[in-house]
Amino acid sequence: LEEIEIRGRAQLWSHTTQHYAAPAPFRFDGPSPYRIGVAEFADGLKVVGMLVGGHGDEISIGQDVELTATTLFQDDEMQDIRTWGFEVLRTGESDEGNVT
Amino acid sequence: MSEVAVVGVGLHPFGKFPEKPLNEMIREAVMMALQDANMSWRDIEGIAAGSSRFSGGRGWGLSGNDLLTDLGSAGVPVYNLSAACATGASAFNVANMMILSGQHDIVLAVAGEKMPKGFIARPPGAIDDPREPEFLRWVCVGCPNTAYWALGARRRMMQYGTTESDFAAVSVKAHGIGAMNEMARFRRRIVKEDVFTSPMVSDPLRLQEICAVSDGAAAAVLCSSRLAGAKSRRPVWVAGTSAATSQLGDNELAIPEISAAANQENPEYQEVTSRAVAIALGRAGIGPSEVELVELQDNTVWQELEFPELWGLVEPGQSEWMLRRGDTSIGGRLPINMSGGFLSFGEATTVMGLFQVYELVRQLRGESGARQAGSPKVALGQTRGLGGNGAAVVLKR
Repeated sequence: LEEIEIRGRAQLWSHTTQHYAAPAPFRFDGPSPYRIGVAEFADGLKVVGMLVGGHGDEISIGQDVELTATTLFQDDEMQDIRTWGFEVLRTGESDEGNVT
Repeated sequence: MSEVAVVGVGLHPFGKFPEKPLNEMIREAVMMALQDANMSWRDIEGIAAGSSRFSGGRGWGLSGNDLLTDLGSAGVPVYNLSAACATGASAFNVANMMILSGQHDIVLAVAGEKMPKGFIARPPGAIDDPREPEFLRWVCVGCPNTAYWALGARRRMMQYGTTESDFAAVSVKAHGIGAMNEMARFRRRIVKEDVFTSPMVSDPLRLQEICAVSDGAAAAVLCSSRLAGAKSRRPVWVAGTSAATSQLGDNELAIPEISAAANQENPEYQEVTSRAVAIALGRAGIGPSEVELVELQDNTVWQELEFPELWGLVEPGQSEWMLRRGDTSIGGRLPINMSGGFLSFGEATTVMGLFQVYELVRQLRGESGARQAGSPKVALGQTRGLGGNGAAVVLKR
């Protein structure tokens, strides 16, 4: 096995909106329902993560996303507990027909 | 000429049986299989048992030993097996090998399960290790099993134009057949509107498009060809079985992984269900186009459309069209899930491979009444389980 670094932009391979929160130990103080997506990077690697932004907008497969960090909740000491996620970018150019 | 036959099958009806101990459910399935085989408990020379994953029997996963205690300890060898949702098929596979090895002539494959309520969650006592995919997917992404299937479903909609109406039609078909199966848990016919008004779970999959969890048990008596002719009037032959696991480089997003490899050498979708089916068909010397009947793991409606294409039974993108034409229904050219499937039964995880064997054996014998799918000669059962487990069973008459 070798470590590889993922960074920057990827394309949305697929996505879902999760209408019931996953059970504990998952803890998330953000909006419900929440979105989960699969980002496909240039080398073909696919990574699952929560989707950030683009709420209320239609999101579509093939759209550009960018690796980011997002807050799950604040712990008892008001510390942000963060996870990775993918920010949905408004390129205005992506559409589902462009996916290869 | 196959060397092993299934000479008896038994099934405990599926449902929720909070007052009924698991050992009673398993015993009933075993007694039914023995009666079907016209055999007694003393005829059994060995046991391949699925280890109950959620109810645990006496707590150690020794389901085969619990059965011996219950029915009479006979000193026979017991293999307790675990392969998550592929456990039942794994037990069947091992029972087959126990006979093929020449060590035994008559072997029982058995599994029973009582499921906790609701969607399957992260197991208690799991380790909080950020290198563990089970930790990452539950804690960092909030990604239950239904989300994985929804990601596949959404991708399929983009690839082939599958509509929510197509997905709903799979559920309507399953429940229509399940309504005719006295062993099924959900026996009410539904229409698409019932699907559309059921709660959204993981978009685009709604509650009526996702299998529930159930309690159930199943058993099969396998017998060498040496004895099968004398013992059974109507043997069904084991043409091929397989157990397979995921492979480094698979580009499937397999539960509980949170990433999948690039696979540039072979851009084709690679995953374990295709591997398991191909191995079982290969052992049977049967091509995908010769399969006449399928029981597959419809955890959701998406699998019923996706899987037959992955295995080469259906041309990619044709499943929706075949469904609309009735090709995958009773009387169609490739009937799928004539039991009513997981959608009508609910999933008793470790049982399902043997649940499929029960259905396929009855179909191959022509005993399925209103659900009888013509007179098939070759049938395929498929299950896959957590941890990259895949299994398939090919039966013929």
